[in-house]
Formats: sequence, structure tokens, C-alpha cells
Amino acid sequence: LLLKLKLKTPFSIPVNNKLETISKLLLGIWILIAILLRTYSNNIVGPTGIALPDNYSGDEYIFVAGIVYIISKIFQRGIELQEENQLTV
Amino acid sequence: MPIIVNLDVMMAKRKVSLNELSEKVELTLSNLSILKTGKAKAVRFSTLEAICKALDCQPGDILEYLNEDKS
Repeated sequence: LLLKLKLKTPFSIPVNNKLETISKLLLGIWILIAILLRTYSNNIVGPTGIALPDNYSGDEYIFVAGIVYIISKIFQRGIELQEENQLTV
Repeated sequence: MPIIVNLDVMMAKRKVSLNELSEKVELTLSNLSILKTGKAKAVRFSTLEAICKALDCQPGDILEYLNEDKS
């Protein structure tokens, strides 16, 4: 994503596509965590080796997915405005 | 598009080439080409003023409105 981002024309379709992909990926991770938690609720251990609390639901993933999705929509509008500006003489 | 740009007509009348016009109005060749081919989505007043000054004409000589409903 960072390699495709150009500061002169930041709003581009490849960058927007990457953002949408990231948002969908995060949504998929949230769904996966939700399924795993329902299936193996007693045996899940977090990345630090400490058992996850009982009320852990992975909501942070859906929150970040939502934010990235909103950013991608803003980028879409940015693409439209940038294109219009480039065709303004 | 309802707005037609007759820049090439006026350039031919005044015998001015695209290169000469781009130097006079301080616009790049690509931007002038975008305007000439009707691909431009908007024109700044400052650009229109510079073109009219360079070609000694009125905005109506360069821009024309075609009512697509009537045609």
C-alpha cells in the first residue's frame, strides 16, 4: 500500500482497492475469531501466552475494519475530485 | 457534452499554432490539448481571460452551448 501511494496524486484506484481489500480482510478475521471463540471458548490463548478473558469477542477487528472501510470511501470521493481537478484547465 | 469548445476554429482564424498559444497563455500543451479536444470538465476564468486576450476574441467565440434536447 505504501509503495503504491504517491504524494503528488495520492488518490488512485490501486490504493483504494488495497484499502477495500484490507477492510474485507479485517472483517474476515473478525468473523473467524467469532467462530473460533464460539467453538473453542475455553482453550484460546492470546499471543502473549496468557489465556484470553471470557468476555473477549475480537470487537477491535470489526472497529478497525469499519474505519478502514470509511477511509476507502473517502478515498473514492478523493479520486473523483482529483480527476475533476486534473481535467480543469 | 452540451458545451462545445471552438478553440481550434479561433486558432485557425488568428493563424496561431498550439505551441504559440500555450506560450502566450502560459498553459501546458497537454492542458491546451485537453481543452481543444473537449475533454476538459472545467475552465478557470483566468485561463479563459488569457485565451481571449491571446486570440483577441470573446468567450462566446470559443465556447458554444448546444441544447441536446432540441436536436
